[in-house]
Amino acid sequence: MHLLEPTGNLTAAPAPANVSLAGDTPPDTLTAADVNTDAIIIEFATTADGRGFSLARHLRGRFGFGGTLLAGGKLIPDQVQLAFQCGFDGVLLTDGQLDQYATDFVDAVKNPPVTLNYRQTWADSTG
Amino acid sequence: MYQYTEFDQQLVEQRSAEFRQQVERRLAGRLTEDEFKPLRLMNGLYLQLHAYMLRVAIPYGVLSATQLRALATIAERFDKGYGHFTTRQNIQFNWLSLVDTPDILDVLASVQMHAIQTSGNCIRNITSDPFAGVSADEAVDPRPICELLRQWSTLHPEFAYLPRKFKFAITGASNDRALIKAHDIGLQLRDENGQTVTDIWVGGGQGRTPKVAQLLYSGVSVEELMPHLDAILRVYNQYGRRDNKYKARIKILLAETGIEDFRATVDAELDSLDRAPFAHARATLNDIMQRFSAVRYPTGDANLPPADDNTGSPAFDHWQQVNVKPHKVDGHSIVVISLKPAGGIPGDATSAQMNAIADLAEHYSHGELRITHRQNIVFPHVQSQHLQQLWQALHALGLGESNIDLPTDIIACPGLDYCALATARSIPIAQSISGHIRANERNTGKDLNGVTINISGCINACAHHHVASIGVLGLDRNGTENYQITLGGRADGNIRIGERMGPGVSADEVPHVVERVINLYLDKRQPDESFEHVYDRIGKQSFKQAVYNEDAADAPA
Repeated sequence: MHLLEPTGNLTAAPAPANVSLAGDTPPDTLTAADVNTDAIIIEFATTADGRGFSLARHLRGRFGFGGTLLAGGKLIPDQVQLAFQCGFDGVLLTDGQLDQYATDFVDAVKNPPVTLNYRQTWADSTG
Repeated sequence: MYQYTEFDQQLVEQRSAEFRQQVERRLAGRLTEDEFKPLRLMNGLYLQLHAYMLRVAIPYGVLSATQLRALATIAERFDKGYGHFTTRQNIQFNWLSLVDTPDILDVLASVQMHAIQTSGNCIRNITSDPFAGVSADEAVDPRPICELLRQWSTLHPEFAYLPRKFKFAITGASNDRALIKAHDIGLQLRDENGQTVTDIWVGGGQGRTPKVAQLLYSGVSVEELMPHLDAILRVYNQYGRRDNKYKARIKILLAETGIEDFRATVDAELDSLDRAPFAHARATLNDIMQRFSAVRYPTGDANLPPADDNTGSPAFDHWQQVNVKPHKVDGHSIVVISLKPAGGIPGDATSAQMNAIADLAEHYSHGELRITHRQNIVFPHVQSQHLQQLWQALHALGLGESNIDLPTDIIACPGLDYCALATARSIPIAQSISGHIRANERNTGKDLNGVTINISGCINACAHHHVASIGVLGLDRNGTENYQITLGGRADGNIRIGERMGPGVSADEVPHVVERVINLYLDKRQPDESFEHVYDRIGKQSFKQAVYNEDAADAPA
């Protein structure tokens, strides 16, 4: 298992996080105790299912989760930038994913064709 | 019109480059079709019955003459010389090759256009009032808010993989010409003591389960608008059904949870929602307003036309009464150009027509035009003294048809002639209805204003058949096209879902059904009585008899 960081660095994955949540976990089934940990992995079951992005925002917002948030599962290179923008600290990749997509994952972060979204420009603006 | 910032321009160029690279990866086998599909859909590219189809965004229906010329160029160079304007104020090109699409996106980017999020399970292109900014009944010009929300929704990282597509419509006028209550979210902008506030309607939609939207929040401030929308979309993203695509829209979630529980869930999300990303929303909106180049209308007696300087032929008079709408500025008019000529395909325009319309827009409408959800074109800034000249020019181009909001102003989707989802043809049915009722002067008079005919080629209802006076839905019954008739729908602020009459009829029978229904309405109406009012007053059974051409005793129960 490998870890893709927001910088585009690819390192060996850390020890498994204490809590693993399916991306489709209904937010109303979670309690503060469930996320009382240092690191959480959110698993994306399919490429087309974007619930994990909202779950990440929900954990950061409703639960004020400040620990490490990792995305696992079936993300494709075109989605990793979205994951970082939604508050993930890293994306876990299998050997198979890296074999299949060669350097596309790293490129997607290091040379993102679309570097910003509007919301960032608003938030970053000092005006 | 809104002028792109450097950032806007950079974004569409980068997006085009990104798609070029995705197409290359697909062609090289580094993306499977399953993986490529959501990516191409987010760039408006569908695989249809015969070819790839590209749906180009026309944000809130506003186009410049320059942009229309670029669309004409695309039709000429990459398609078969025409394009199809849609009920969501977009344009579709139906005969494209995958390898050409990155070049097409480059052409679009060169004129501040794109095809981002015109399909796929994401927030789609936002639609609005085609008379925005120029109609007399408007409290708030919706275009700056439309642009703000275009920016908010474009490449929104959280909402690119929703359960299903998500459509917004926005109006700031008292007469709803944007059909806001038939959208996932409809926004009504209002002026409250000099401040713009928004009513948020949620859960409208058509398709196989038509629903009228419900009021979720009233009087939301500009500052709080986007946090509210983020919270609503987050709740939808997490709780919307993904097990059945026909139950995946927010209207079903709202129906299953009930508006009170839904609101409570959104409220809870709002309580902890990070407002930081929206800290500069108000400043951004002000900046956007600056980037809308104001139209300078001529003033002073020298430039204002005499009140009735448009005497002309009966044909011109008819056009003026039907296609010209009141403008908020004295001496000016809103002109609607019909894309529904006799025998034509509703919403289609050729490259030559697009170029000619672009020239006319520059001469007569400050270089700006709009697309309507009824698939017509609007010139929003015409000096009334130029109406006759403009009509003559349009007439010479075959674009002088006088039928806006009349029965021959038919909405039709592409149907089985193009669409991979279609179950029956729409276009030939529109053509045969139009031809048939044109033969009877009684069925084409301007006193039939508001009697609408909409034809969808499948249950997805792209042509809005549920909200037409006369709705036609094409289905497949054991390999034979079969057309269901719905009556009494309405598509404005008083939106109503039409009622289904009963078993479908054959393609050949549809024009006769339509004619009988119109004749019944004409026979029974009182002065100025609307179609749906007559429908309610004399009842479904009477109209069923007209549909099936039967005596009361024989009509299907």
